[in-house]
Amino acid sequence: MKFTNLAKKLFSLALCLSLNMGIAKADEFTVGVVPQFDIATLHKIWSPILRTLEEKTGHTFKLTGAPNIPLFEKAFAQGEYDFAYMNPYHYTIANQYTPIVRDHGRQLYGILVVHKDSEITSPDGLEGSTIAFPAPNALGASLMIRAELAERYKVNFTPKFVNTHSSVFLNTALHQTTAGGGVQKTFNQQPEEVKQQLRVLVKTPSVSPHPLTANKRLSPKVISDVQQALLEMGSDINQAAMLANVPFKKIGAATGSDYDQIRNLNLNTYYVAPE
Amino acid sequence: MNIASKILTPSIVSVGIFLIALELVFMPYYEDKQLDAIIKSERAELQVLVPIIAEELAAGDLAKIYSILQHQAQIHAEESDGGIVLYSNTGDQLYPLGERPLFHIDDERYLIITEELKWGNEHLGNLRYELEIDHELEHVTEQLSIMRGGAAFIILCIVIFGSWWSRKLVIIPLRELQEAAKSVQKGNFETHLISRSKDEIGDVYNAFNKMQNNISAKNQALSEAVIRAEQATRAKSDFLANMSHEIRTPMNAIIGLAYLTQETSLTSEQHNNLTKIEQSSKNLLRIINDILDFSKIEAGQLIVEKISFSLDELLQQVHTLNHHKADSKGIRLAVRRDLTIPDQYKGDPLRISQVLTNLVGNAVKFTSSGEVTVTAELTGKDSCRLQFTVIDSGIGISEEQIRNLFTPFTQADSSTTRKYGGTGLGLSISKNLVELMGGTISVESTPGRGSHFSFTLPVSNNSRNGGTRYPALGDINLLLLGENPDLEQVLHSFGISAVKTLPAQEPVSLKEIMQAYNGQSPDLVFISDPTGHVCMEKLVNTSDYTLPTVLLDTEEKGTADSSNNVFRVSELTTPSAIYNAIVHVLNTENELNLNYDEISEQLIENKLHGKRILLAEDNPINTEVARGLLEKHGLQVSCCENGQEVLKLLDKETFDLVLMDVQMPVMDGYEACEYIREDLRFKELPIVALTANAMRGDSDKSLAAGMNDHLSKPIDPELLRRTLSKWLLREETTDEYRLVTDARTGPQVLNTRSGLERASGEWPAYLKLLKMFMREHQRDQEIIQLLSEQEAWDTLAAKAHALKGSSATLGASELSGIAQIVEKEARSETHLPPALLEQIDSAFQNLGQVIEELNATHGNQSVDEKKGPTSVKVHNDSLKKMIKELNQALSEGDIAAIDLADKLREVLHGSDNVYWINQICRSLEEYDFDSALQILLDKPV
Repeated sequence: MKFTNLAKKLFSLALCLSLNMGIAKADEFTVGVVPQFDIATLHKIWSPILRTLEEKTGHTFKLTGAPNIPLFEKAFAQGEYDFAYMNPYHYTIANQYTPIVRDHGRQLYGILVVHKDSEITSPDGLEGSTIAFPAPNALGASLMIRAELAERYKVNFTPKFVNTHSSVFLNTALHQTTAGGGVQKTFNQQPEEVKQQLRVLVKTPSVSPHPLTANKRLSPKVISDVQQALLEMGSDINQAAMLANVPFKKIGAATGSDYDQIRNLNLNTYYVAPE
Repeated sequence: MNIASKILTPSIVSVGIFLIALELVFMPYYEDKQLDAIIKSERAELQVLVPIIAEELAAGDLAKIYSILQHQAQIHAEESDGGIVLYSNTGDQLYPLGERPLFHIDDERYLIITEELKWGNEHLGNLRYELEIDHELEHVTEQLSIMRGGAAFIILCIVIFGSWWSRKLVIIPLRELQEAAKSVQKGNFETHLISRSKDEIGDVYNAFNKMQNNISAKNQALSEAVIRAEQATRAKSDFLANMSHEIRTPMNAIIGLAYLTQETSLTSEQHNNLTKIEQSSKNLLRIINDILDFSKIEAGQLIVEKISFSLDELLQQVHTLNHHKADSKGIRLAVRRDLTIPDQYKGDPLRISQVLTNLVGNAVKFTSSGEVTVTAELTGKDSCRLQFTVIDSGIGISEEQIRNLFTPFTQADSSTTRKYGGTGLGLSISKNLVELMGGTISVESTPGRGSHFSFTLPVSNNSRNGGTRYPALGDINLLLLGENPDLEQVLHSFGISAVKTLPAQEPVSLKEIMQAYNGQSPDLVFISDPTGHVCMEKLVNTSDYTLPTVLLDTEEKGTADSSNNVFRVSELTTPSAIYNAIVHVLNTENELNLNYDEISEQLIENKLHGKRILLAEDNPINTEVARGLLEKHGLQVSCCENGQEVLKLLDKETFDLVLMDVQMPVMDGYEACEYIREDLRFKELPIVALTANAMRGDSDKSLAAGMNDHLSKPIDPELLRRTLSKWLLREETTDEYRLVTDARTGPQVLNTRSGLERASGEWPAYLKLLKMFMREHQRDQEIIQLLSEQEAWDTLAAKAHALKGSSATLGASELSGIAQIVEKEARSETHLPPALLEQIDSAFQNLGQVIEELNATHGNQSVDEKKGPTSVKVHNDSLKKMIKELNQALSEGDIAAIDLADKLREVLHGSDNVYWINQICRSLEEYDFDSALQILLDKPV
C-alpha cells in the first residue's frame, strides 16, 4: 500500500512535470484566502478549520495567501489555488472555480455614509462630490456602491481610494470627503465617536456573501468530500464556532446560481483591473 | 590664626571661588545644553514621523495616521497628555477626532513643536506636538544636584586631604619644634628631634638639634667652670680661714704675752720694746682684719647689721680714733655735724665707723698740712639719706687715678705705695661696705689741692626717731653770745629754757653781761660766734672771771685755755660734745653719782675669784697666755689638750666654766661640746668657744654645737673678763630675779643678805649706798614713762638696764626684776603698760619703806660721818686715782690699761658724762693706746 502510494506520488510528480501541471496532486491541497486581514489573523481563523478538514477527509490542506488583493486576483485567475475563499465578484470573474459552501446567515450589501450634520438626504445630492472608498474593487464598499450611484442614481462623483474602511469613515467624519462607501459590518466595528458623526445615506441591494470555491480541475470526489466535511462541521457546535470566524455564521452549500445577482449587476464596468 | 588655617585658607578660598563659578556659569550652561539635547532628540523623533504622516495624509489613509498617532500618544502618554494635533492644509483638525487637548503655552515645563507636512511641494497640513519636559528638567536638575554633590564631596576630600597633608608635612613638625623649644627654654636639653623629611623643615630640625647640642655643651662647660670657680673660691676662703687661724695663733701669743710681761717689773727700755712689739702687732692685726674683711666681702659672707646707733657717739669715736694721728702730723681733724638733725639712726655703726676711719686715715696719710674735715648731714628727697663727707687738703688724686681708686690692691700709683705704704684694700672695702649698706660712695679731687670723699646711706623714717637722750639740764639762765638759731635749737633740746641772746659785738665786759641779766650773773655763758672769741679772750683770761663759759670754737681761732669754768669745744662739734661741755662747766654732781658701782665691780672680781675653769687648748703658748689672763682674775685653771681630755676631766672634777678651743686634735671643740650637752649633769655648764677663725659662721657654728658664747683669738683680755663674768655670775642673777615672782614682802623687796655682801657686810655703808640709790633714781619712774611715750626705745633700754644693774647690786630684787622687764619691753619696742609703770612706782615706795625700817634698826651702827671720809669722797678719790693710773698705763703702752679702763668704765657706768671712757675702751679693743690716751687727756675734768 505504501509502496503503491509512493509510486503513485512519484508517478504523479513525473506526470505533472511532463504535462506541465495538467493534473491535481493526489491529496495535498492549497487553500487561498483573500487577504482581507493580515496573514496572522488569517492563519488564526483558518488553521483550526483546515486541521479539522484534514481529520475528516484524510487530505492535507495548506493555507496559502497573497500579499495583497491584486496579487490574489492574479493568482486565482491563473487557477493557482486548489480551494479559494474570495469575494462574490471575484468568483464571478474566475471561471476555473466552483462554489461549494457559503454563509447562509447573512447577505452582503454596501452602504454610503455622510456626516451626520450633512444636508444631503438622497444620493442625488452627491453630484460632483468626492466620495471615499477603501479600494476600487472592494465589492460592497466600492464596486456595488459606485455601480448603484452610476446606474441607478446617475450621479457623477470623484472617487477617493483611502485603503481601508476606517479611513473611509474617518474621511467622512472629518469632512475630508462628502461621503464614503463601506459595508455594514465594518461600519459597526468603528469606534463610537466615529459612528456618532455619521449617517447611512444609501444601502445597495444584498448579494450572497463570500463563497469557498474549489478548482474545477479537482476530482468531484474531493470537492464533495470537502463540502460534506464542512457542512458536517456546521452541525457541530464547536466546529461551527470556528467557521463563524471566517465568517460562516450559518454554513450551507453554495451553487453558481447563488451569485447570478452579482453577475447581473454588471460590475465589470467598475472593475479596475490590476496592472 | 594658626599656621594650619593660614596654609589651608588659600586653597579653601580658591575652592570656594571654583564652586561659585561652577554654580553661576557652568551649571546654567549645562542645563541649557541638556534642554537643547532633549528638544533635538524629540524633534528628531518627530521628524521621522513627519514624512510617514505626510504620505498617509496624501493617500487619505486617516486610519493609518490615527493608528500611528495613537501609538505615539500611547508611547508619550507619560510625558504628555497626548498633546499631538494634526491640522489639514485648510486648518481643520484631523487628529484627534474630538476636542483637542489644551496646550500649555508659556509653561516652561512643556515644549511645543510644530512640523509642516509636505507631499512634494504640496502643503498638506501641520503636525503640532506638545511635550512635557518636566521630567527631563527634573532629570537635568537631578544631574546638576549630583554634580554639585560630587563637586562638594571632591572639595571636601581635597580640603581634608590638604589639611591632613599640611598637618603631616608642616604643622606636626612645627608643633614638635615648638615643644622642643619650650623644653629647651625650661632647661631640658635632652630633647632630640628626629628629622623625617629632607626638606626645609628637616633642615630646621637638624639646625635645632645642632643648636641644642651646642647650648648643652656650652652649659656643661659653663657649669663645670662655675664648679671650678666655686671650688677655687672655697679653696681661697679655706685658705684665708687657715691663714687667719695660723696668723692669729702666734698673734695671740705675741699680744697676750706682751700684755702679761708688761705686768712684771721691767726696765724702761724693756717696757719700751714691749710697747713697740704691741704696736707692731696691732698694725699687723689691722692688716689681717682688712684682708679678712675683703675676703668676706668677696665670699658674700659679710652681713651688715641694722641696729640703733647714736650719730654723735659714732662721730666722737671717729674723732677719737683718728685725731691723735692727725695731731702728730700737725693736721687739724675737725668733726662736725648738722646740729639740727636727729641723733638716732638705724644701721651698722661699726661698719660706718670703719669706712669713716678708713677715709679719714687716708686723708690724714696723704695730707701734710692743713685740715681734714668730717661732716655729717641729711640729704636727698625728704632728707632720707645720711651723708658723710671727708675733705682734706692733701696731695689729691688725678682723674685717671680716680678711675682705679676703688679697685682692690690698687693705690693711686705704685709710687704711692712706696711712699705711703698700705695694702690698697681700704677704699675697695669701704666702697663694698657702703654698697652693702645700700649707699653710694663718690670722690672729687684736684691734684695738689685735696680730695673730697663722700658717701650717703639710706635712713628710714622710723629710724630717725630722735627722742631725748640728754637728761634735762633744767632752769639755767644761759647767755648766748652771737646769733645761732641751730645752736639755740640744740640748747632747747637740752631742756635749757631761758636763753638770752646778745649780738657778738666788741667790747664785751662782765658788766655788760651782768646788765643783760639785770645785775645778776647768768648761770652759763655760751660764746658761739667766732668773732666773739677775740672779744672774750681778755675777759675770760682774767683771773676774776668765774662765770661758767663754753666756747664754741669750730675754726679754732681762740687761744683761751680750758679751765675749770671755761670749756672749749673745737675739733668735735656735736650736740653731745656741747652737752658734755655745759655739764662740765656747770660742775654738776653727775661725775660723783654712781660710785657704788665701783664697789660692785670689786665684788664681781671677788666673785670670780676661786671659780674653777677648764681650759682646753692644744697650743702650749696659747695655753700659757690664756692661763695667765685667767689667773689674773684669781680663777683656778685646769688645762687639757683636746676634747677627749675635757670629757675625762669633767667626769672627775667639778668646773664652773669650760673655755675650749674649737680646733683641737683627737676631738675638736664642737664634738666635745655635743658630748658634754648629752650628759644631763652638764646641761647648764657654761661653755665658751675659742676660735682662731675670724670668718663669719664660726660663732653660729659654735652656738649650734651647744656652746654658750665664743671668743676669737687673739684673746681680748677685757672681752674675756666680761664674758667670764657674764656666764659665771649668771646663776645668781637668775636667783635674784626669781624672788620677784614671790609674795611681795620685806626680804623680797630687798635681799639684804646679798646686798650686804656687796657692801663688805657693813650696814652703814650699805644703808648709805641704798639712800644714794634712792636719791639718784627718784625720778626714774617719770623718765621711764616719758621715754616710753616718746618711743625712745634705745635710751629707755639703757636706762632700764642701768636701773636693773644698780638695783640688783644692792639686792633690790623687786625693782631689778621690774627693770629687767622694762628693758625687755624696750628692746622689743613695746609701749609699757600702765600696770608696769605702777609697779615701778610701788617698787620704789616699797624699797623706800624697807630702807626706812632698816635705817631704824641698823642706823645706830652707822659710822660717824664726821670721822670717816664720806663714801663719795672716798670714791671720788679712788676715781681720780684710777684715772691717773690709766693715764700712766696708756702713756707707757701698758696692756694693763685695758683692764684699768674697763674697771673705770664699770665705775662710771650709768653716768651721763662717760662718753670718753667708752671711747677709750673701744680704742683699747683695737690696742690703739695712742687714741685712748688722747681721749683721756681730752676728757672733761
